[in-house]
Amino acid sequence: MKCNQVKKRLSAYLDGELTAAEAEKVSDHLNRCVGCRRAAEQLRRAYQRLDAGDALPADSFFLTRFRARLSDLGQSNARPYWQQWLQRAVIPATLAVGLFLGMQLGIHLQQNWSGAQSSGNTYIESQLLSDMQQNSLTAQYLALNGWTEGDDEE
Amino acid sequence: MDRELNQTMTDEELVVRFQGGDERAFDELLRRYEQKIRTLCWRYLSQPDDVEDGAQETFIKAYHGLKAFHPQARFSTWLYRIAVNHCLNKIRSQRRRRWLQPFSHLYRSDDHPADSMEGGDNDPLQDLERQERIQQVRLALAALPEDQRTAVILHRFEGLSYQEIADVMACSLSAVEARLHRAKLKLAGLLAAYVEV
Repeated sequence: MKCNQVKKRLSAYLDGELTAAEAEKVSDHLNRCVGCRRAAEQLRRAYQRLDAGDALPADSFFLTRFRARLSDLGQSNARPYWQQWLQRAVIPATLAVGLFLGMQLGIHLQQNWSGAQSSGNTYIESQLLSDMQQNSLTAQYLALNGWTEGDDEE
Repeated sequence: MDRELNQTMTDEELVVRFQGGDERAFDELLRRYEQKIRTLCWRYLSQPDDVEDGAQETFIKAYHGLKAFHPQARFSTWLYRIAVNHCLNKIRSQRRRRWLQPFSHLYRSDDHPADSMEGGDNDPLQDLERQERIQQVRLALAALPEDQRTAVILHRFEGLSYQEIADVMACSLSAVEARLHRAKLKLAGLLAAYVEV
């Protein structure tokens, strides 16, 4: 056997998965070839150090949990299809309706609030204008000094 | 059928009894394989909830599929195949959803099933070193392509022969040999720091 042929079969050789005849051929080659022997040793050590931890401990309640889940599944499967479909559709439909109503309420409140605010502003502005026209600053100043408009002309 | 009788029966005999309507036969099959399947799921999935869910789903699929199961096939091989497929599907769906949860790795659960493993020698330093080694192995395994990882897990940790792995993975014997060979070469490189040459 040549080196490249041996290297391809090294893994199976180390795992004892070759036939007796194949294993003997590989073994003969390894006795003669230092490079392949080193490669085999490296593979063996890497695989030996492959420690992924022990098995998990047995769980004596697993069967109970399995039976409970199986029972739940059985009950949900026993319901008519339309009922299962309705159950699956209730949560998303409720959320969609809630979202839609929330948006409508938000839009409505925003419109009312801005309308009230703008009408309020218009009222205040008109009052101010009216006051300014009736009581101009000059008129107020003269009134403070006991004069009235037109005194100078006299 | 009492418990003692159950324990003397082969898996395939229990399957036939279950197919005949004996529910307790399935309970016995579950008792036999519960630890192995949970451990197999734990090798693939890191979160405790996923491990429990994976094992439960495997047995639920087995329960529903067992009526159509042919007793000439090995029950254990069939069960392993269900578990491996479930775990690989779970990993694929997690990979697809990862972009939605970019920081999920920051709040991983602390109560890992490995914490309750048997065989602890109560030396905190040795325990720490061992946990670190286990973590390195998990990362190295996760770096392997799916088919190589499955071959290594089934061979190295579950002790299946090449032929049994070929049955679980539905591939040829030479494909298993090639996958294991490539995986070992890659692992030798990935675990170089832990391998004394």
